[in-house]
Amino acid sequence: MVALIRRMGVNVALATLVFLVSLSLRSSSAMTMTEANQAFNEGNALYQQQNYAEAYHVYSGIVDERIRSADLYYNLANACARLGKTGEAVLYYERARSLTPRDNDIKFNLQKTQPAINQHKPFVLSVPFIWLKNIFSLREWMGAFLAMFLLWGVTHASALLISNRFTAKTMKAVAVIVGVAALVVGAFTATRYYDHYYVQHSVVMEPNTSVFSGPGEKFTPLSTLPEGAKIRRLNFNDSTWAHVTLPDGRRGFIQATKLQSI
Amino acid sequence: MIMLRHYRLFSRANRSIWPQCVVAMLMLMTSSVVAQVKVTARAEPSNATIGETIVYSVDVETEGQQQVPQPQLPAFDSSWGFTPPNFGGSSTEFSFRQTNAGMSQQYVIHYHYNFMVTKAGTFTIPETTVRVAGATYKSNPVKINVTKTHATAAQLPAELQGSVAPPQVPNQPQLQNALNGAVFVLPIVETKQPYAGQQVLLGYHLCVDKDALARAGLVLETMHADRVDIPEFQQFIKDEVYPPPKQLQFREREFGGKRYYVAPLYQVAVTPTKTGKLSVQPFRLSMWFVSKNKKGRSSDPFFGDDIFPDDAIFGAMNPFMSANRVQVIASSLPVDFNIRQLPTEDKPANFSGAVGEFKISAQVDRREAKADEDVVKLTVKVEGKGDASALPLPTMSTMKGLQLLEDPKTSTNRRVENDQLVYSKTYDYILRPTEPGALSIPPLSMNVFNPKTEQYGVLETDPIGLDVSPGANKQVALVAPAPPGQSNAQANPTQEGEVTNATPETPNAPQDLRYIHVGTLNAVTPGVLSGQGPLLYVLLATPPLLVLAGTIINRRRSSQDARRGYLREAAAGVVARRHLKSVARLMNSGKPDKFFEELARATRGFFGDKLHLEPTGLTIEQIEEEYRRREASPDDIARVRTLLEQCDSARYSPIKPDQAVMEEAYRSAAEILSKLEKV
Repeated sequence: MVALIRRMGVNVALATLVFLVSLSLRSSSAMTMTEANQAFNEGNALYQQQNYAEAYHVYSGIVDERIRSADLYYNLANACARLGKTGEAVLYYERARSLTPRDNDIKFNLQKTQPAINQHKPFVLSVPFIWLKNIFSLREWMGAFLAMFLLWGVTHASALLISNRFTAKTMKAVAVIVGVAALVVGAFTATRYYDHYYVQHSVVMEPNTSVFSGPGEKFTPLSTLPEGAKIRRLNFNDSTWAHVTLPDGRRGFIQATKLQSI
Repeated sequence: MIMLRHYRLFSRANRSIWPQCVVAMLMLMTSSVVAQVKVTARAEPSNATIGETIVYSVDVETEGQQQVPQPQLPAFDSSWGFTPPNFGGSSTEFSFRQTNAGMSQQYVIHYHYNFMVTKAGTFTIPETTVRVAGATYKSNPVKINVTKTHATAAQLPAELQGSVAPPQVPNQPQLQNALNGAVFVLPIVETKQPYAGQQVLLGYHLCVDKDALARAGLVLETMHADRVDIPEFQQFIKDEVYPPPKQLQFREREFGGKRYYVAPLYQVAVTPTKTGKLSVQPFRLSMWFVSKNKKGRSSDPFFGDDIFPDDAIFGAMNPFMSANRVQVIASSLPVDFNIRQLPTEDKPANFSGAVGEFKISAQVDRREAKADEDVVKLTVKVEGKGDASALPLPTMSTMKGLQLLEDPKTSTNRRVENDQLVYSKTYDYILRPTEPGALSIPPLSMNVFNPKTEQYGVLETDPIGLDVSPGANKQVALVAPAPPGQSNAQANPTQEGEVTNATPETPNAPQDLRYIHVGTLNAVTPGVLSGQGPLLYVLLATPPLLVLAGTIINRRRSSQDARRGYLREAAAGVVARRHLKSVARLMNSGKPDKFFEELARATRGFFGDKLHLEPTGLTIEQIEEEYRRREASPDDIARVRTLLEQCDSARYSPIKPDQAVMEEAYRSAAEILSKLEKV
């Protein structure tokens, strides 16, 4: 009887795990990957024929199906740049960069396309931290952190269970090293996670967008932003006006319709 | 007997009476204290003028010394125009009072708060509450009458009447009246009706009528300013021109035919952020003068002895900070602005909001260059009065034969010139000539509104000529540049069957972009690696659970080992005796070597169980060491050695031991084991 109950408990646990895994892997898009690939190739062919407008429509169609891919975003950004849509180009280059931060093509083209106001130099002491944080994508940091964290758990548990003293001590030392590494990687992961989900970076989509001192055009204009300027959006309970921080640190208000979130 | 009974009752049985008595006594004491608390509130002065500081005092009177926390002031209605109250300190006084019950000690704690009034009217401050010993007490409400500035300060010239606030001299109303119009802070503003976005200079100056000051018994040269309260400038962007100086520099100046000594206190350039009526709160300056008339100490409730005692640092630094000093607080009136909207008439369609009196200029770093090789830096500077940081990029028309390599870098500077703020904004353009010949950089323009002329205008640079010679590194275009009116595809037609509907690139599209990525689309699905999904929580929970499971299992194992060791030790004697029984049977077997072998095994097995060690390989030295540590008798330890050595030698000796020896060894073993079983 006890054995039966134990077996049932194990089965329930396994079934729950399978359910959770399937939940996390479930795709939310109506377009299959085959269809997406076909459309992507079609878009590439149109681009090669210099039919940038059509290529833009095809790429946008795939993006609308919530397919996320660095190459897709990059190609779409290129098409936008060719069509003079600087705002959208910067937006999609930034989205591609968040997925593959070390891609030199994306970096190069973004540098060429974005306005000078985006090239803001951060505080000198924070440069190495920011560089290291941005050199890997959120997925890479998360993968590294989960792997290290699991490894730490396994080595630490082994150190407790192994009866051989020498092996147990070695495992403990490995667990400490891996634990410290997991902490450091975890810190970067947490920062990246926060940047990705909580810090709202947006791109200005229209040229000569005015920044006002308050949420309304009757307030004093503080500055004018070019299309493609990257700003940080602050929390503000108004769907019409966005409270933003400019690259030089000043704060102001922009019409929310002129922005799009990265 | 009766008395004795009562005594017994009181002292013995009802111990529960005592706590009740103590509580009752405490309550009685508290209630007697509670009945003796009185709270009064007052305001000085109760009839004030705009700009005057009111001292609101709350006096809490108690019988006996009590813990009295700070009173809870009532909320001031925001429409009254009172500045937020500042706590100015507290003081305590006590006295003895003769009552019918005898002498009692009376304590009065004074709490002082100060605030400024900025609007005329009659206001009633509601009751202030104080909690003492768990009970709440309320003061009386206080009425304050505020009138406009004394219109007729006899000393003030006509042009200043109504634009200055009288000074405050705490606790000296006569001196205060005497100084009315003799000491004041005068705000000087360029205009009180600026346009939205127009930068306005606002300066505060301390004005002193030296003669009137002397008549009042104060000496200007002994003045020591100790505190400045700069207003907040809410709803303005502020840029400081001069901060408050460390030392006041007085200059003579005339107002309405009257001579004053005037010292600048503070100058700021403010830009309003919205239209309509805006107000800047008063600027306050606290000063100390030596009085020729005054004797004794002044007890100022908020800036006085508590903060600047005679023996403090400030007293030591300033020889005039003696007991004859008098505090004078001078404030300006609030400065009211009426911000006007920019006129809509003649407003350019692309006006970006630049307001000021600016001029524009442009220059290049070289007049000669080589096509496709050299770069030319064009610097455009906009300078003048107004907030240049808000200026947009100048409009640049199409440049023939010149390529703009990147968006301009901008920098903003400001300087003070003749007490005026002059801003400049510089735009640096990097151009590359692409064609040889006599080229011209066309004018760059910017629409601004000049608040002085109240008109919109266009700032425009002069065209700049460039002499461009052909370069050595002529770049071969992969695609021939299209003539005007044609796209690249039309200018470079492809073979039949190929591109027929190529999209023309827009003129502003960046050149030389890297090519697209082709191949399989590597889509990213949201999941664990994106930081989403329930599996993430499972993975995060797994390592701590593994560690927890390991810890639990480890602990259980340790406790089991400990138990096992304990059981083994506890059963050592029983096992040994059982073993000895089988050894005894070998005594008569006629095999002494076998007997001594088993005896040694039984003995070593006993010690191994007792000491939690493996019997094989257990040495005599280990046994001795362990029993010495357990403080066993040295004789017993010696006997153990003797026994084990005897067993070892008997096993290997060619001479077989006889029965008596075996019996003796057996008896010795039994004795030793039974003795050491208890150790």
